[in-house]
Amino acid sequence: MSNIVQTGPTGEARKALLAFVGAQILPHEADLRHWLLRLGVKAHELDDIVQDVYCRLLRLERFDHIEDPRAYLFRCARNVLLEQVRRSKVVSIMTVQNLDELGVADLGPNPESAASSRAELVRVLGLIEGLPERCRQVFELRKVHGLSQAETAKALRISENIVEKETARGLNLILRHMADAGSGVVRALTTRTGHKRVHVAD
Amino acid sequence: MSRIDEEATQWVARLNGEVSEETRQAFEVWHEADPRHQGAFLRAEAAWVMLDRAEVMAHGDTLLARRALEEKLKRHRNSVSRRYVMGGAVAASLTGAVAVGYVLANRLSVATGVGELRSIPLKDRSIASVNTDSQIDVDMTPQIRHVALVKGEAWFEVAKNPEVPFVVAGDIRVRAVGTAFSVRRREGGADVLVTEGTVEAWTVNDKNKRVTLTAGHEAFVPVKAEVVEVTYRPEEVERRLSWREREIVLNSETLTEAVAEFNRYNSRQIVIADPALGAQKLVGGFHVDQPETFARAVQTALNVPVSETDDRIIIGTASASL
Repeated sequence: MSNIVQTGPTGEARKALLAFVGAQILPHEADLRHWLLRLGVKAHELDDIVQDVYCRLLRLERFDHIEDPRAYLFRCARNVLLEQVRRSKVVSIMTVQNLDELGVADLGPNPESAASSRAELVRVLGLIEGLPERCRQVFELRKVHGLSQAETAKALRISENIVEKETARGLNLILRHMADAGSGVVRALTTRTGHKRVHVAD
Repeated sequence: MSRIDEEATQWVARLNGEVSEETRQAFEVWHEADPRHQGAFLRAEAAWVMLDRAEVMAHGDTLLARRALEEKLKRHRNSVSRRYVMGGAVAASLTGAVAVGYVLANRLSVATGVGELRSIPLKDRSIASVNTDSQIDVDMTPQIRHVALVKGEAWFEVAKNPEVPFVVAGDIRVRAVGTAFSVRRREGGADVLVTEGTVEAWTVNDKNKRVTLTAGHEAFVPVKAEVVEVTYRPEEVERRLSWREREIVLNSETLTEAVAEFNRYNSRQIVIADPALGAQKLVGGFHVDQPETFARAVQTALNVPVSETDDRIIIGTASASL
């Protein structure tokens, strides 16, 4: 797809960042939101903070040095919080002191983070399958079969405008689902279907 | 989800179609207006890109799958127009649209070229990894999940569904409900390797003689009804499935066997010029598409000459004119 963003990386770098965010950050967003709620962040402030966190990721010049993306994400959110407290932009959250006390004890790596390709596929297909009927058809053609927007419109005999609307609607639902349940679902699926690979070294 | 998040998904959708200069500028204005817009847009676009994983996770071409899809859509359109004639337009377009999802992936044929490896998600959420120079024809019905292994080798991670057995058919049959296993066709039968769960295997000639294999077991199931020997060698099973990572792992295989293995994956064939070398045993791990590296390793390990031409690598002679 065309990336026309001027803030942050462009071209290949943007592509790499998107892949990184999609695979390493998004799956932890639900846990991050839970953590923020536990810290006392009000529900209506959550989205603002999460958006701010993602915006920070745009400033990353490289991310291959991030060994534990989950911990990185939480640290990043913590910094956003601290800053907001300092600017008293968000007044309803805990004090800076409380925040520091909380530390990073529960930010350890997620043991199930290495999902098998099948678990990953099941997750992605599950997201698509959970969509309302027409939405699902659009996503199946676009994502499972790789058709363009115009091709999808033609295939389903609907206007491109409707494909666009369904795309936005479906993406919105998927993001909402990931924000609520995302990683919990992944974990359950991984333990049930994950397979171990034994490496024969010598 | 906030209004900003909704706007972000709308922009992702809009920028995916034909984008006019006007739209582009409108987007820039929105995007630059607020760091939260930038964050929300990154998040939405990342989710959109992440969904691409639903597409064939393959090294190979998607051209074939695309052609098959076009064919099916053509049929779908015909059936839609037929229904338009018969019934109300709304009802017709709905049924037609439902049919797409159904028709799309129930039948599927996947063929790989030499050196190609493709992992294909199937409609029932199983995954088929199709090795070099192989072909599978998939047919999903409510009663049975049927995969014809037309030639070559494939590994299946089968989604659990006790109601609908998953059967792989060559000259022999392998049946599973939810498990992971591979089948490789050979002269006179097929190798069956199980990495997870349990499968049943039998020859079409004698349905009564069935063998049961569990994880870590392997067996050669012959076409002619004979006694099938099942062995438990989990490391061996994993080793022989290293092609899934595009590797060939040798654990005391003979040079002849190793060369045959490399030749499955490459049009540039390896030839052993000196028959006396064939029985030499080798240990090591290689990429399937790097026969040159393998040949050089052999040269060092066995201290034998190796020569190369455009289409061949010759082990055991210094002169390329064989």
